[in-house]
Amino acid sequence: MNNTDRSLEKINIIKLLIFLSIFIAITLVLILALILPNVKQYRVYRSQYNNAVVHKVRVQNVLDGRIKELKNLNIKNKKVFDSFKHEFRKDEFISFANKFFNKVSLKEVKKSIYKKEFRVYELNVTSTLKTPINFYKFLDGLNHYQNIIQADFPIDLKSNGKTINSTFKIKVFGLLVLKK
Amino acid sequence: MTSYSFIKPRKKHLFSAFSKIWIAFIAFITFLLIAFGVFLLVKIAIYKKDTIKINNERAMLDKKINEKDDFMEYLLRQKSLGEEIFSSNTLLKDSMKNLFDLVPDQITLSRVIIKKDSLIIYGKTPTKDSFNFLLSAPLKSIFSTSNTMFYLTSEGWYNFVSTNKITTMDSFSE
Amino acid sequence: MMQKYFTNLFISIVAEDNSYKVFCKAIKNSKQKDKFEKIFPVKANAEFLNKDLEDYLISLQDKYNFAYIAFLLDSMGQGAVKGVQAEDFTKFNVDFKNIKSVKFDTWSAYASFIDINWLHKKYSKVGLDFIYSPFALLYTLLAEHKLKIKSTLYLLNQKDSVTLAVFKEGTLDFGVFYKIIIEDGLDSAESVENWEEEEEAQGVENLATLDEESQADDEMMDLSELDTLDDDLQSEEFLNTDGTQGTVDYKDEEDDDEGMEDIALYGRDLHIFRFLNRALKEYYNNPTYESDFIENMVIFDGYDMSKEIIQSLEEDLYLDLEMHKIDVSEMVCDMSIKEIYD
Repeated sequence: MNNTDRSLEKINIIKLLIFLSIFIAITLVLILALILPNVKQYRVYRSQYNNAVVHKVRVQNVLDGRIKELKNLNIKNKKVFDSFKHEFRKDEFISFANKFFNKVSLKEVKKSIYKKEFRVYELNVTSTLKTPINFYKFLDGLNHYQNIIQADFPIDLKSNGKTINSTFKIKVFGLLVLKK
Repeated sequence: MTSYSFIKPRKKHLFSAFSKIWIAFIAFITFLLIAFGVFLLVKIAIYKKDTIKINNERAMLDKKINEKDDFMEYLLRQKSLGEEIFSSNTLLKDSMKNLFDLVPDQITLSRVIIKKDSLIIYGKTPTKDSFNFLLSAPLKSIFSTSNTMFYLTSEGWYNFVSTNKITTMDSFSE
Repeated sequence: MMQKYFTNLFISIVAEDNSYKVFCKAIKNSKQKDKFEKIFPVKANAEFLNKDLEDYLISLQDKYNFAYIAFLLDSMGQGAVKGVQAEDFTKFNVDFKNIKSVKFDTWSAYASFIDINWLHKKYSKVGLDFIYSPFALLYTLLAEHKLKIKSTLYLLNQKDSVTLAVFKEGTLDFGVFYKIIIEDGLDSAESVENWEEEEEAQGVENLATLDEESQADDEMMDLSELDTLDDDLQSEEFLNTDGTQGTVDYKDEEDDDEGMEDIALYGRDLHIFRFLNRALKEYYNNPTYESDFIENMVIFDGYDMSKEIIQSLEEDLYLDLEMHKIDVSEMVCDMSIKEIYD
């Protein structure tokens, strides 16, 4: 049974025009209502995004710079920071002091907080030394010790024939809260 | 019902081939446009979302920078405190050195008490004058007040107690 | 599905008397909206479809989205046999391979394959949806009326053809399609049966009132069973109701013209009458048909059955007649409507 669809043989002008106008109307409506406003929005949000990315990259770079600075600072001042962190041990200190003095003994005085960030551990040191030169050397050595220690007043040096009996205070500085 | 006809009737279509082609074409174009529109909307939504995400990340980075800065300042405080302490120890050493260097051979010290803003020296001197001349003068130049007490010993030497104070801001050590 | 909410156009094409009648019904939502017809004078059975008719049909198809064209087949090689299997066809000497058939449960209507294809080809530009056998039309008609149990002779009368069938208990026993071709003069090459001509010549001569122009050549369809009829037909035999054989002598007839003074059958009527006679004789005599005696006859008249022939049928063939006037074109149209809407 052959299909007698003759619609493609002779073109019905009216039908053609109707379809054409429907097509144009739909296309126009879609483009004006859907495509055009969204293309504009697309551009807007895309540039916003790109700006945000650029901004973030810049900030990232600043952060990287800071991190580098921090690293350098850590490296350069490693000894100091480690000294702050190092736990004070009396035996360590006594063996250190014994390099300069004889008969070193420690007595705890108090523990306190300094400037909200540091712990101060005050001790009295009693020792005997031959000459004040030992004390100078001690003070020099203190600056290179494993802890941050300040030699403090009162300092009492009493001559006792061949030796000097000394009594002085030391302040051991440490960190209040261990921060990374 | 079964057909009485020798042939079967042909299928009839509501739309001619012409109409169907047009309808298909219009549907296709519409689909393309709508698909494109949807694509745009999706991209817009993604950009919006990503922008927010990026901004959040950036804010996080900002916070991190502040944290790093705070930490650096903390470390710097440690460093300056350390330096302070080191210089105080050195200063103490230098001061003590200066003090003991001041003492001439004739005068012998028996006890030294160094306090924050005072210095008390116990010692022995052959004559008052030698003490006043050799020790007291420099002491006076350093300290605000300076008093000496002399005690005559059996040997004919004087024991002295020199009390020196610094009262101003300018104390012996910070 | 959705189609019935639109306007469907049902077209029937019926050939008659050198013209085609195009009958149309427009149906929408199962309600008839329009009805119209148009007649095209055409040379019947030409190889190509008449241009005017073709253009008209095309214009109808363009106007109506859903158009169905039904054609009442009027070719000669048609018939009907009892049974639906291939054996049934061969039993009645019909070549199964050359025909196309429509099955009606217990019997079949058939037509020549070549004729149908030829029709297709002729209408190829327009297209056909239905091709009906006249037996299908006859069956539709008789089914509208109460079916008779006893053997009944049904006749569909059209201007150019006569369709005859014997039905018993709702099944076809015997069916014959007879086409009347009117041509000037006798042409021996046209006629199928020689004996017909011979007999015809006698008939023509004896009817003095016959016009020259209305001389007719009978042509029976090539039902080979009719070969069993006597070549030299001087008389016909049939069974009387009381079982005795009776004869109708044509020679006698012409002599006894005065005996049948009320009945003088002319041209067409005569041919029909003779055809009926022969057909009935064949039906009664041929053992292939289980024939009962027929007492009733129903005529569906799509043309014009004259009083004379009716009288003849009633008196000479002893048949109880029932007559119904029908519109063939409209019936064919309604048949196609029923098929689509069921």
